[in-house]
Amino acid sequence: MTLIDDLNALLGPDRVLRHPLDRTVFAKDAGVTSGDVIAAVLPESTSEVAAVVKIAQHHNTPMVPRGAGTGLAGGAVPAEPGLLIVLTRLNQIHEVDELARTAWVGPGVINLDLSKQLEPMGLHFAPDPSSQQACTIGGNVGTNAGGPHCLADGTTIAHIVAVEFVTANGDILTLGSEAPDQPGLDLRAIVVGSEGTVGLVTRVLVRLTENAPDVATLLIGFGSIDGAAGTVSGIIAAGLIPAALEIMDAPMVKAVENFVHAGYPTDAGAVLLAEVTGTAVDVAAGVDTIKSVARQHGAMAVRVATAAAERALLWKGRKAAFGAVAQAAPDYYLHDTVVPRTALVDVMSKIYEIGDRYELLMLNVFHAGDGNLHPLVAFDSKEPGLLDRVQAAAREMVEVSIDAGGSLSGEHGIGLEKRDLMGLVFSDVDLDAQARVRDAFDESRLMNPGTVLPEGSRCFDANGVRL
Amino acid sequence: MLRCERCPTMSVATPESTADVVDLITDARLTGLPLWFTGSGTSPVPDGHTVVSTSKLMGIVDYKPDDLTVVVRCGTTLTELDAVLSEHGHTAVLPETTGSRTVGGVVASGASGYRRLRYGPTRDRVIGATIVTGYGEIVHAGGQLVKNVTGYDLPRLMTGSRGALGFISDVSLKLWPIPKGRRTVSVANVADARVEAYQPIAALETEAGGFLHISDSSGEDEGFSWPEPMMGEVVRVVNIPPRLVPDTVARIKASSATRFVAQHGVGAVEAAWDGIAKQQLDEFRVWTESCGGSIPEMPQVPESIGIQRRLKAMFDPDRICNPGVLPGGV
Repeated sequence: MTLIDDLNALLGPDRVLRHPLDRTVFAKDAGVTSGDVIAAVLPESTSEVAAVVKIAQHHNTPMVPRGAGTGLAGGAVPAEPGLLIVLTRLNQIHEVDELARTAWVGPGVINLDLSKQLEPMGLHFAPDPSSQQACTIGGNVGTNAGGPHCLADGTTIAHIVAVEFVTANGDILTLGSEAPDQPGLDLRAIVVGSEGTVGLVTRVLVRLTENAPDVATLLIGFGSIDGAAGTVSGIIAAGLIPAALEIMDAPMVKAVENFVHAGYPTDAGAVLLAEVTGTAVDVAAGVDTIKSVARQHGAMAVRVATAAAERALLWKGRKAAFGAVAQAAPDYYLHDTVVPRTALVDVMSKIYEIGDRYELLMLNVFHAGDGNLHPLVAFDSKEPGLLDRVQAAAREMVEVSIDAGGSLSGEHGIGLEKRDLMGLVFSDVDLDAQARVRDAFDESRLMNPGTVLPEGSRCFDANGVRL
Repeated sequence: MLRCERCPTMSVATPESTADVVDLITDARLTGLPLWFTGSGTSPVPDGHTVVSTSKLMGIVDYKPDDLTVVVRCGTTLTELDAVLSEHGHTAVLPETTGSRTVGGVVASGASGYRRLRYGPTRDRVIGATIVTGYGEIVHAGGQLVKNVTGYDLPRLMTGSRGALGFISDVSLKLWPIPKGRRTVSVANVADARVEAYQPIAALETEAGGFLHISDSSGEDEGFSWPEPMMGEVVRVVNIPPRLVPDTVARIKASSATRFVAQHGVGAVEAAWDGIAKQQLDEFRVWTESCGGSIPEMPQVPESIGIQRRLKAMFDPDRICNPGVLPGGV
C-alpha cells in the first residue's frame, strides 16, 4: 500500500486532493514562498487527524498542518515534498461557557466568525489579525497571531487556555486545562506559535473577552511620521495602554483613501488611529490623554468617533490597507520586525532612508503601540533586477530593527521566509536549544521539517557532546 | 561554597554572576551531585543536593520606563522591584504577597497574584530570559519586546518549570501602568458582581465576604487592599475550572478551614487549616482531579509526561537541575 492508498482508504479519494491544480493551490500561503505538495488531505475529526499522522509516519512522509493559508511567512509551505494536513473542516464551535468566558472550538473556525457568533453574549475573541475574515483559529494558534487589538489584550497565546493536541506520533493529548496552572511544564507555551513544527491542534479552548461598554476611536493627522511615532511613545510613557495604536504613513493613507473613502486626511504626513475602551469615565480620560500628547507632538487634525458606524469606517481603512496596496503594484514584500517602543522614531527614519536609497516604493501601516513594524515594499517582480533590490533592502531593514534591540517577527512568524535570518537574532547555542525543544516533541522530525529553524541548528549529538 | 547555618550538612553556593552558575553546573555534571536552585527558600530542599541560592544575583539590569519593560536579575525581591517600578507608576503584576519572595522564584514557580483576572497570569509578563541549562550553556531567549514570535517561546516554557530545565538567571518583564484610582468594594454575590463589572482587577471571596477590586480613572485609591497572607498549619491552593469556584468554597467552608481566598473567574482557591486529616485532604484532591483541577502540592502526572521527560533530557541530560521537582519525577 502506498501513502495515497492508505489515505484514500481512510478518507476516501475526494478528501485526498492530488490534482495538479490542488497541489499548486496548496503549495503556497499568502506570502512569497512556495513548496512541493504530495497531496492535501481534509480530515474532519481528531481521530482522522491522528490516523493521517500515523499513516504519514508509516510512510516516512513530512507533514505540514494548514488552516486557511493566509499566513505570510511560509509556515504552511512545505520545505520538502510533504503532505498538507488541512484543518479547515474541523470548524465547529463545540461549547461556549458564558460564565467562565471560554469556548472549545475547532481549529478550522474562522476568526471573525467566532466573534460574530459571540456577539449576542457580549463577548469576542480578542486577537484580530488583518486577515480575520479568512484566517482560522488554528492558524492563529500556529503563528501566535496578533492584530491591532493585541496591544492591550495580548497576542493569541494570552487567549489559549488549552488545546487538544495530536503529537507527531499520532497520540492525542490535552495540553493546559480549564483549571489554572496545570502541574508540570506548560507545553502550550511551545505549541502556540510553533508553526506546525511540533504537532497538530485539533480543538482549542479559547479565552473570550467581554465587549467594552464604551469605545472611542481617534483619527489624528500629523505633518510627519515622527509626530505620530512620538505620540505613540508619549502615550505609553504617560501610563496609558489604549486598545489599539496604529500608524499609517502618507503613501499608505493615500492608497487606502483612494480604495475605501473612509475620510482619512490625504494631506497628512502620517495618521495615527487610536482606540480606547472601557467605562465611560475611562474612555473620556483616555481620549483626553491621547489628544493632549498628540498636540504636544504637532497633531494637525483630530477626529473622535464614538458611534459604531463611524468607528467601523475608520477601521475599514486600516483593515483594507493591504488590499489597497494592490493598486500600487502587483507584488509586495511585507516586513514584520518588532522594536522597543522607545526606538520607533529612530528605526522608522532609518527604514525610510533604506527605502529611498534603494529607490523602492514603500508604504507603512503598523502596530505602533507594540513596536511592530510592517514596512511594505510594493513592486513588480517582472521588472528586471527589482526583486534583488527589494531583498537587499529587506535585509538592511531587518538589521536596523535588530540593532535597536528588536526581533524578526512580531506576529507573522518565521516560516521559510525568515528562517535563514534567525542567526541575526540568536547564537548557535540559542538555536540549538530551540532545536532541542522541537526534537523533544518530534523525534521523527517529520512535523513541518525545515521551517522556522535554519539547517544545522542542532550542534550537539545525543550525548550532549558538541559536534 | 558555604555551609547552611540551619543544616550544616548542606552546601550552599551563592553565585554572583551567570558565569558562576555555568561553573556550578559544569562542576555538578562532573561530580554527579545534583543542584537545587532556590529563591527565598520557600520550598524544602531534598537531601544530597547542593543549594544554589540566588541571593547575590540581585538588582535591576535595564528598566525602560517609557517602554514599560524591565530586565531584572533572578534574586531581586518583589519588594525591591515594586519600589523601583512604583516610582514610575508601574507594576509587573506579580503576586501581591511580596515579603522575601524573589522574581526568579516567582517566575520559576509560575505563581500569579490576585490581579490575574484582569492582567492574566505571570507567564503573560515574561517576555525574555537568560537561562543556564543543565549542559552549562547560556541560552538567551525573547527580549525587551512586548510582542515577539521569533522562535519558540522559551521564556514562557521556563515560567513554572521550577528550575527543571535550567537556572533562570534574569528575566525580562512586560509592565503595566498602575490604575490611577482603585477601590475595593464589598459585594453580596461576588460571582454575579464579577460578570456585571467591566474588567475588574480581582473578584475575591474570603471568610469575611465577597470583594470586587476595581480600577476607576476618575478617583484616588480608596480603601484598596488585598487579603492578609495566608497562614496556617496546612495551606493549600486548589486549582479548579472557574465555574466550580462556588462549589469549592462550599466544600472548604464545610471542612473547617480557618481562612480562604477564592478567586472568582480564575479558579484558584487558597485555604488554610489549623489541622486537617490527611484523609480529608486526599478526598479533596480526588474531587478536584475528578473536576479537571489540581492541587499543586499533590500533583497528578500530566498526560504529556512523555514530552516533558524528553524536554528534561534535552535540557538537563545528567539530571543536575532540581531533579524530580516536577510531577512524574521530571
